[in-house]
Amino acid sequence: MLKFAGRRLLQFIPVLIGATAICWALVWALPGDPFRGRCGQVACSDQYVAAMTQKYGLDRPLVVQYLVYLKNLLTGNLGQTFSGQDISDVISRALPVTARLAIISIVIQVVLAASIGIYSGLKQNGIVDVTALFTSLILFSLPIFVVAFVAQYVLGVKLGWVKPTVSPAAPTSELILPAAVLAIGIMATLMRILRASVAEGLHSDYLRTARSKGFKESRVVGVHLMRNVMAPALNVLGLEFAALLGGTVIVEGIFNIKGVGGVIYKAIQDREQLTVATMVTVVIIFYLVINLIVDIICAMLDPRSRDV
Amino acid sequence: MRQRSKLAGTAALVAIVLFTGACSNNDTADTGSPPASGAAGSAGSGSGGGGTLSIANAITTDPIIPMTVDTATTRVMDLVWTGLVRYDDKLAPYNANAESITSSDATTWDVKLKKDYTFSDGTPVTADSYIDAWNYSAYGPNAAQSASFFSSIKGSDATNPATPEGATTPPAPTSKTMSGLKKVGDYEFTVTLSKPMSTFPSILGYSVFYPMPKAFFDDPAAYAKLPIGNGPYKMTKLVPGQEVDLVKDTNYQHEDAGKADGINFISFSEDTAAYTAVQGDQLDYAAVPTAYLKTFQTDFPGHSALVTGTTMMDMQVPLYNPQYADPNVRIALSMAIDRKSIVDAILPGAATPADGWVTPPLPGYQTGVCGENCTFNPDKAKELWAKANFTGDVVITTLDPQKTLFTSVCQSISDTLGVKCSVNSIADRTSYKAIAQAFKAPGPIRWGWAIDYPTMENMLVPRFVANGSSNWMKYDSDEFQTLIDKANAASDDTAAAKAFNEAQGVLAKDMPDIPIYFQQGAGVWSTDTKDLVITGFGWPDLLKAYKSS
Repeated sequence: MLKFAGRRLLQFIPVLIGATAICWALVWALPGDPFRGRCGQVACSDQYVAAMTQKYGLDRPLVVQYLVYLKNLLTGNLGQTFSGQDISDVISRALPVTARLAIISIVIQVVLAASIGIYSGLKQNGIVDVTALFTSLILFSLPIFVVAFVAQYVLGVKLGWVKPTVSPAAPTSELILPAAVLAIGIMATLMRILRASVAEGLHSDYLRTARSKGFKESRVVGVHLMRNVMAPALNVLGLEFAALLGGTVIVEGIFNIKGVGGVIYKAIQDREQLTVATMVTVVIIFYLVINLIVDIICAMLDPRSRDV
Repeated sequence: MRQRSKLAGTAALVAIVLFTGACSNNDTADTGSPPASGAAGSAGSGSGGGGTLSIANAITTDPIIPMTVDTATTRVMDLVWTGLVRYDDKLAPYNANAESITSSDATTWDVKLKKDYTFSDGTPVTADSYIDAWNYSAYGPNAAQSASFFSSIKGSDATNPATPEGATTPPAPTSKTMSGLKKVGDYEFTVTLSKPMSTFPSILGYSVFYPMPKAFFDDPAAYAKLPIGNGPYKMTKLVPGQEVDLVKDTNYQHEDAGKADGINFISFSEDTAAYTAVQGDQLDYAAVPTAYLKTFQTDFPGHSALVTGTTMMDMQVPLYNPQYADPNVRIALSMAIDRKSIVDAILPGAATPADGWVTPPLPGYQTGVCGENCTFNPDKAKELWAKANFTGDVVITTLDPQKTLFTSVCQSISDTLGVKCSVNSIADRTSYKAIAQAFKAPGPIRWGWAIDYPTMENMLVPRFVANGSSNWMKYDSDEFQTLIDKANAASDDTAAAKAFNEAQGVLAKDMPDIPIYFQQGAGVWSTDTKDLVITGFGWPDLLKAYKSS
């Protein structure tokens, strides 16, 4: 297991370097000088553009800039944005909010999708199964901003059950609605996967063996079936969690959540290479770690898939 | 055992949620920011004040200091600082920090300061506070966005030299201070301009001219974390680009002291979210987004307003592009646009067809300066178009928010002149600005103007003077320049207004820029917000509004 994890961690390094370099180059390739347009509706003075270009080292060759960036990254100096903020501050403000939003969304998904999906699988074509299928497909097909607007307006304005937008401090109670909106959009996938796995598993040999051994039905389903069904579901959850961490610009805009999505979006508009590359690097690290954890858990659950 | 590990997993997730929830609740308590419901502060009964207002304001991450040029940031600074002058409800300047601003020749101005103003850290506001701040902005290597606003002061070309023809970088400045700024005494200084400008006092209320305390010059980076000013409010909390909380400075004993105990500015990336927040009683003020122009008055009966504003929308026409070199082309395009129908369809009640380049609330405004050249006239337009030799298609470049507007403009042009017209809509602001600033526009490009300070000069000079700071058409007219100089040197406001209007007449003849509409300012507020009035700036007067509990 340790060897497995260790090998995977080593594989991170080329992935990180490659992804960071690509992000860096992509933002650099966007048209438009990052400094000429920073003075509102009037032109920035030539001195301003020259001073900023020099301060942020954008007059040096691209390769040199990138190497300096890597060196700083390795020594923990994440640099500053063009407005003088520390990028570490920017990330430490945005990432926890997005992480909390992602976790809450995953929890909601797990609770709802697991309970409905597994039940649907056990009692196929029952009333729960059919209703769940239709509802989840409808919600899945609706554009997410429609769901978000309607939820915000009905629950926040008309009924007043929740606050319509999230205040800058982003307390967890205010994140539940946006997290639910995000969950609803992608829940259908998890539900269908669980249903299919459970339905398939019900007819499998190992389940017949377990039953014929005389175990209680609850043990048969709860232990033996679940163990085999979890792997694909965990993979999907891992992918979804990573996607949520990457930021969800639309929901963030509607609910005014100051998360990773908004930061990256604005940084791209402002041509802040450092911010984009660093933030994307952090998200990729999370993504790789989560995938690793999911793989380890799957390996623990199913000895057959242990990668040696 | 597997069951237990699955339960344990779920329990761990739930625990994380609760833990982070508990943590963030503590954070909310620790910051000490007053709740949006405004329960903090003195009772509003009878005294006409108190409460904490929360206002939607899209501040950027740039530091909230006078060197930053950004409309939303200026609005915050107008409460944290008191400049030499403030503007009344007719947009005319009145002395605030200044005791007097006088000149005999409109070129050298003598500024005397009131002696009883202090920064919120107790240090006095002196002539040096202004002189040092202005020199800091004007000195190129300091990389202040506000540098170009000091170009009218003598000696600014030495502190902020431009890039000469043929070079790629500008030369180093030859001076750290502007020769036109001279200290006369602790509370008096003179400003010498390079050319006469009779409206000079009017520009001094703009945030770039605010004074700075010693604390800024000692350590600009530390100062920017929570800037201090000499105004009726001081900052208690600043999260760049997200939130800035102000609280009334009880030591401020001047006429323009605010009424509310606190004002919190919250940045919303989507203006529709801010509007919904006011609807849900979570926020006290938001501007009305285009989508809600038809319904906001019924959504907020009695606490909304539509005010003639000082913002306009126009298209800068690239004169460097041979397609548009013939003025008949430009005038024909202008006459081919049915402004009234377009505005009624897209911005009902929230905009009026533009008839010039200066917006109605500004002192000196005259209706119809553009005359028939800005009036929809299909026959005349066709006539002029036939006379001109336009080849190819008309391509209008715009930013995404105005895509619908300019699609309609294109349609109007096509229908009237029969030429193919298309819209190139750009989502990314930097790319869009780069097209204009690199003089690469394939056709008319959406521009627009919001005043920095309320003068006709501000609406005409940056955009239309040769090499003006917002002139992307490469428009250069001696006739226009002469009239501008005449207006700036005029001895009284009436004479100045007359010359500015004559200058607009030149613009009407040359049509380097096609005006589209003048925008109204529309805003909505919560029921507990009192005395909220939207000024000609399109923004509420936050010194007069307050919240009743």
